Amino acid sequence: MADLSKLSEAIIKGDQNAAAEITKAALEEAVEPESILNDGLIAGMDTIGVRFKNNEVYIPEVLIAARAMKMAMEILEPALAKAGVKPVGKFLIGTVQGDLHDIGKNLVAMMMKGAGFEVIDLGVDVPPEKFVEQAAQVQLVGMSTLLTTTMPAMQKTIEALKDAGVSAKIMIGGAPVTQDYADKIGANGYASDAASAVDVAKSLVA
Amino acid sequence: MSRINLKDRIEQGLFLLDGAMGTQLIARGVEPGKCNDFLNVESPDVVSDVYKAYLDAGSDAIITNTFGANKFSLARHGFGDKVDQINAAAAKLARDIAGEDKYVLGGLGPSGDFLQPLGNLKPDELKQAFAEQVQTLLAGGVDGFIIETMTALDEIAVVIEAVKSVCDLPVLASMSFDIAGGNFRTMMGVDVESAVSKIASLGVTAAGFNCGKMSLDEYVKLAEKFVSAANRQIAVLAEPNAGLPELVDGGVIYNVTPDDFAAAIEKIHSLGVNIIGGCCGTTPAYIEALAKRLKSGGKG
Ligand code: B1M
Repeated sequence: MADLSKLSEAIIKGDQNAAAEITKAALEEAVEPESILNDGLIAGMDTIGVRFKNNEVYIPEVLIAARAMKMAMEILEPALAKAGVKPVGKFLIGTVQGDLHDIGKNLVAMMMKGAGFEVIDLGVDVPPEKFVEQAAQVQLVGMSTLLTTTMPAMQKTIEALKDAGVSAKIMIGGAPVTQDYADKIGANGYASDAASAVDVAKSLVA
Repeated sequence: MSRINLKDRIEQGLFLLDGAMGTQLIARGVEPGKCNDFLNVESPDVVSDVYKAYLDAGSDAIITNTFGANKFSLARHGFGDKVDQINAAAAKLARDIAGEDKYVLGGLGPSGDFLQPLGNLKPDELKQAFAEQVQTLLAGGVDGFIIETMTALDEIAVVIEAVKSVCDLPVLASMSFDIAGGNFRTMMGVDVESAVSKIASLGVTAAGFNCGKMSLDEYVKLAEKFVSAANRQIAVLAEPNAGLPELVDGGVIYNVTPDDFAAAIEKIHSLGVNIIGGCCGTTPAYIEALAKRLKSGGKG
């Protein structure tokens, strides 16, 4: 029987070959796709997220784990679709207008995928209109910024989303952003790191 | 008096760099988010004005406004094909203002991507791109190079090799540290000892730190770590920030005063760190406060 704890270990180690092989083997043995996802892949990414948050591992380890997850997901996705497994939620993310930093935003996107969300990534320097255009189809909109000077763009985007009548919840983050600021500009959630972002996201779409 | 060669000058003792460029450009009306590097071409007067203010404040050297003028960072602004034009303009501007007496360092910053397997960059491609930038800055008359805000050891190693493949001028190599898990590390997890031993093995003039999200007391502790890791085998360079900016009434302010900054730097200097400047948020007033405090002793 395919051992899903081995699969999460492969994710944690970032061993993409092992991750792909165990995923294939598990599918061949007719393990439920949803169980492969939850007990293998998501469990592995969850551990990496916690270790990253606790400064036990750093960006390289997270990137390698996410790459292994991606390889396994390519194999698993058709089976998930066939089994009618729905993503936990749809999440839109982008770095706000005027800001070109994307490392933190990418990590958040990876951890959200790693937690079973479907992620639409708008990239960097995203103007409010672009967030508005895509926001109707998601439950949660995420914004990231690393520059103090572009924090006001988050407020502008939230205003644009509200003006457009978007009902999705809004979550923000990035090094200079604080819970206070999130409260002040009317965001529904804030997270200080990628692992906490997943927890906040889950609570917002629950 | 015309300047002596940079390597000898650094060996003589205290060597003051400049402070921040980006935040000074913003203070002169440049819109945040613009490509600062392209201003060398588009608004050279604004850039010169910043250099001049730093030299008047007491900087021994100014750094070309080319932190993001590598092919990869420029491409983010749609200027990927303007590496030569921007770096040539930047070096000329700095050289003209610094004249014969003061030093010009060619500024090199991160590509903003990761080397394979973490990212898309191939080492050869990265090296070639930086060698192109270095070549142009060299032709513009710089006295040496400073590599700043690096976080990955493989990337800083390739950039140092790129400089060395073009010329023998002194190289100052600096990474950006924060506190993680009770230790100083770059965001890629590199600690001070690994950084110093790798950088020193590549035959550069100095290893050090710039930028980051720490308090001045923490920068002093980081300097202690650096000095002990360097163990007199390699010079140490320090360019702390003026703390972290805060958003007040829609404007950005830095809470650290020039005097606070100078007092912390004095401690760093007393540890044996001689190459000193300021990173984000520092202004000519900070450099002036520094110069007053450190140069009054007659040393340097
Ligand atoms: C939706 O919900 C959520 C929830 C959580 C969220 C979230 C969203 N988004 C993030 N999180 C959270 O989860 C993540 C993972 O746990 C975390 O993400 P972070 O993004 O915080 O953390 C990342 C994982 C790692 N951190 C990073 O990626 C940033 C690292 C540092 C070194 C940095 C880098 C790498 C770069 N930079 Co820039 N850079 C600095 C940074 C200094 C430092 N030591 O931090 C910082 C951010 N930079 C700064 C500056 C000023 C600039 N940079 C610039 C450029 C660059 C590079 C291109 C060289 C590169 C970016 C490469 C890239 N592809 O992103 C320029 C701006 C360009 C622009 N318009 O955007 C430029 C203006 C420099 C210049 N003079 O040109 C400073 C901003 C100061 C401020 N607060 O305003 C800075 C803090 C350095 C400093 N000490 O002053 C959490 O915040």
